[in-house]
Amino acid sequence: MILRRFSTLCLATLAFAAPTPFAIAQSEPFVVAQSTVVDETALRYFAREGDQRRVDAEIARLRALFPDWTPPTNLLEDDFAADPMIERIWELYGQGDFAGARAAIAEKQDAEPGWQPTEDMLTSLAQGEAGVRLRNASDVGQYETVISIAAENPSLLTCDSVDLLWRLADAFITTDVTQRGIDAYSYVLTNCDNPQERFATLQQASERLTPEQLAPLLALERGVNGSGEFASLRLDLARETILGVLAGRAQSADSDVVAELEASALADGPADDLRLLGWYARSQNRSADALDWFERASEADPSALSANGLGVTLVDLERFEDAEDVLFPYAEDTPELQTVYLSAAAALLAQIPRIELDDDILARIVATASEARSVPVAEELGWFAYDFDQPRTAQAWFTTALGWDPEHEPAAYGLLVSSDSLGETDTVASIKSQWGARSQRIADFGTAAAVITAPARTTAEVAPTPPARPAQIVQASTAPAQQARPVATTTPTSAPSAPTAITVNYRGCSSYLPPASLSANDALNRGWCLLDLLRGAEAAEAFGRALQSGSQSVRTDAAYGQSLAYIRMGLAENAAVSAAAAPQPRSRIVELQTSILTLTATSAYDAGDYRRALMALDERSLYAAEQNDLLVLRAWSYFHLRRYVEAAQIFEAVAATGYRDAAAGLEAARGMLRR
Amino acid sequence: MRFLATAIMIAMLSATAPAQDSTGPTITQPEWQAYRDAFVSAEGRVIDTANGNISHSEGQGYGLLLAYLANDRATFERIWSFTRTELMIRDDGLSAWMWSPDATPSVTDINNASDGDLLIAYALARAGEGWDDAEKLLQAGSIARTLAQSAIFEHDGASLISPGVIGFSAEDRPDGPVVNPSYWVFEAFPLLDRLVPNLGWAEVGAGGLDLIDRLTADGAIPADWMALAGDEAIPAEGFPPEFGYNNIRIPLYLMRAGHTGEILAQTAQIFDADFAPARIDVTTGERLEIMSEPGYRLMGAATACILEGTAIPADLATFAPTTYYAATLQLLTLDYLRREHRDCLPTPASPQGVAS
Repeated sequence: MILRRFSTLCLATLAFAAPTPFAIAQSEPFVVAQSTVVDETALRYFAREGDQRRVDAEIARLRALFPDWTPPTNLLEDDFAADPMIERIWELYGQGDFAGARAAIAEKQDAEPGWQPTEDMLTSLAQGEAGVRLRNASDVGQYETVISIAAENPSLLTCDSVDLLWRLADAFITTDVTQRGIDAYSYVLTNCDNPQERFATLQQASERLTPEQLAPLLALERGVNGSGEFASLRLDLARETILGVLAGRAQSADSDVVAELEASALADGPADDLRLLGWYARSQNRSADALDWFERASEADPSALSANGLGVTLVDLERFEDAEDVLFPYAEDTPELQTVYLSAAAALLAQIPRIELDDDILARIVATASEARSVPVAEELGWFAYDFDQPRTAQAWFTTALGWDPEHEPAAYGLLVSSDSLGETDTVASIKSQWGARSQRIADFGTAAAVITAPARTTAEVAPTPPARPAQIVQASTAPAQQARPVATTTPTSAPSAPTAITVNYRGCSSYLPPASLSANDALNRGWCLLDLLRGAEAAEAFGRALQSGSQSVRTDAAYGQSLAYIRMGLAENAAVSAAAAPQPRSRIVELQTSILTLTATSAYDAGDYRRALMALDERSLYAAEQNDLLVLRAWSYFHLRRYVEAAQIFEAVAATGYRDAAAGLEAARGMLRR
Repeated sequence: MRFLATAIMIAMLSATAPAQDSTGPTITQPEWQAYRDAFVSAEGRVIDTANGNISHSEGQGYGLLLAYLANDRATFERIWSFTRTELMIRDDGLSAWMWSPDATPSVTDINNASDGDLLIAYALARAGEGWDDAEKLLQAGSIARTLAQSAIFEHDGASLISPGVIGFSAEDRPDGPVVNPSYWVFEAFPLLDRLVPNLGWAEVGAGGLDLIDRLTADGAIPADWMALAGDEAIPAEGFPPEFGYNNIRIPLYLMRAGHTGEILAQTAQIFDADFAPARIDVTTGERLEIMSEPGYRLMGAATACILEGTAIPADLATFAPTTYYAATLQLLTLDYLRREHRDCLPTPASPQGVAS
């Protein structure tokens, strides 16, 4: 029974043509002299044992050694007289007991003086031992031994012992002969048919080679049932590549690689892939694509992970209401998700112009913020209430925020503004005395400097103090700062967030983050965001962090932003210092100098230093023409310096344009001249 | 080319080296059978039964030498196959010194031990010439050449052998070079010098004799590991300052190489009245552990017989395996006595006797 089945198998085997062994050197593979008689005793022994696997291996081995040899057609012919001692040697060899086989040869020689093992038997044993040696050397990192054994035993390097080819490849790659390692993998993928071994070959190669080095091996992929045999590996590689981008190891992934994962994900990809592609799209600043992937992920797997990506992307897209809505169900899942939710909520509340929120949404924001003791959200709730003319509620929220973080200046400032609007002068005075030394804007509150410093929303509350100067100056002179905000460029130093890391999007800057914790790039973006929210002090701080960037363009933008922030705060000297912190294009120099000198002039005027005001105006005229507001300021300066003629001339000219404020000046100047 | 070299080598050796004793093996079949059963596994591993059943290059070398002396080609092949495939995997072609059955991979330390390499090369050379096996001579020559190039060094005008390729030189340690006097397997040097001439093996033999002479002068007892950095050799840092299991072999190696004069007497101080050597604290002279196994004591008894004509007690001349190391030294001593000093052995000399 066994024998009959074996005969059929044997025929199949004979049709199999063994590939030439992997040639380690450039020279021809090692071949035993052609005249040598092929020792078929092993083959016949294994055949009689019915051991088809060993028969196949032996035929392949003999073919590798003797290319011209043809296997016998009938391995079981009767006239072959078996020698039991020789059979024993082959049996031990077949069992991999090479030491035992060596001993058996010696015993046979002792028993039969003059008997010599065939060259082939010795070669077989030497090769068996060489294989063991190669594995042992490979196990302990003796790569020169691995390579020299392989070089001396090329017929070991066949599809029958793919692991030896793997070990050889590993030795080559480890000793920086990478191309020879690739050749060894390539040999397996070109010649060997075992699917598991082929798969494992590419798997090993992918762990040791760069994507570029791997490419020619991937090209050796064979089709299996309509798809590539390495399809799953390709996807793994794509995932790894994308994760590498997200971890900051690369700027972007090869588009073909991404496309392969995208196609798979669209077909029936797991939610993990959908999310991974979402994070990748987000890292490439493709928010719309990211939204699409996260929406698919949320549909396939409505979970905290999906909601996280979706929520953050919605914040990116400034769809804060949607973001809050998506994140809320998971806000209590993890501390990280709660943070993300609260930052989305803060961004939602901080939107200018204000939008009305449903009571239930406000209620759940309040509930979550209260539980988390979220200072940024409390602060935004304060401003939110304030802008809807609920200063009492605003005051309560700023008080709450200060209660959670007594050192949080923005909350103190909010409390100050809201208390002031309630006419609580004692509270205002108390805050000013408590915070004045630490906060310029709190110190300046209620003084002339505050006209420039205070946020727009509080301008109306601040009464200008005499000597009066035109209220429009503030709006007009700071207008340039509102224009043409530069967009931060992405540089290689910015590490996109990994998909598992939950990040607070910089575009929403309502929550406080210490600038030192940000990358220079993120700090720059945050600076602009804060500037938009009229939080000059925090913006200046953020830009200060961005000024530490290694990138010239980031530093330039940061200096510009910081200067603008100081201008907003009315700190002309600081603004001048910042403007000089990095070289700026001419257009920005004009813009900054114009603003700074305007500020200097008005500050000097407010302080009664009219000469300095005039000097600043003179200097400013080098950058921009004086409009009526500043001409009036100049005229009043002359007036205070008792240069009434010049004052009257200017007042007259300005009054002639219909500028009402000039009329009073003209009258005052003429009055003095009449004396 | 290869065959030419082999032919030359065989011609050279056969001119000077004796073939295996024509009177037959000096280790009897029953003795060898007992040793093999106790310490040699089927895969050719010589097992150090007293040390967690590990194996080492030195043990493989002893196993090969004893198999040759017992004229057991089959076991020799077994041990050699294991040695080659499991230990001789270093990039430089020498053997990793230790193999552990409980570790994966089994070689846990890729460093070599020079005496292991030396014993393996020597046993291969003996077998190559005794059994007329050119392949083994080539393999012996290859090891001897590599070892000479990486382990022989000059110090104060003497040729010495480093205990290992790495870690013992003057560059490697402040008190270096460090040597192990028991790594001089004196009988091997003339043969290796003929096998790979002009590589320093003859000089190493002379250097070793001189070293041991100095270390044992005036009744001194050397520690197993000696540091040679200073004017005076002192016990090496990081090793116990002890004369121990390493150095007890010195008298045996001297005897086997025919050095039975004053130098043997100098090294024989370590045996007590029962011929037992001991582990000795060389700083105090205190005998820390008496080594009373017959294998150890036979070395002392042989020394006493050669130096003073004292008869060897019959129980010491009877082989009964105890531990791998003692058994090995006992067989090597018996081999020596049967070849050179049958008169020392108890009468009737019964080399067939093996205690059960």
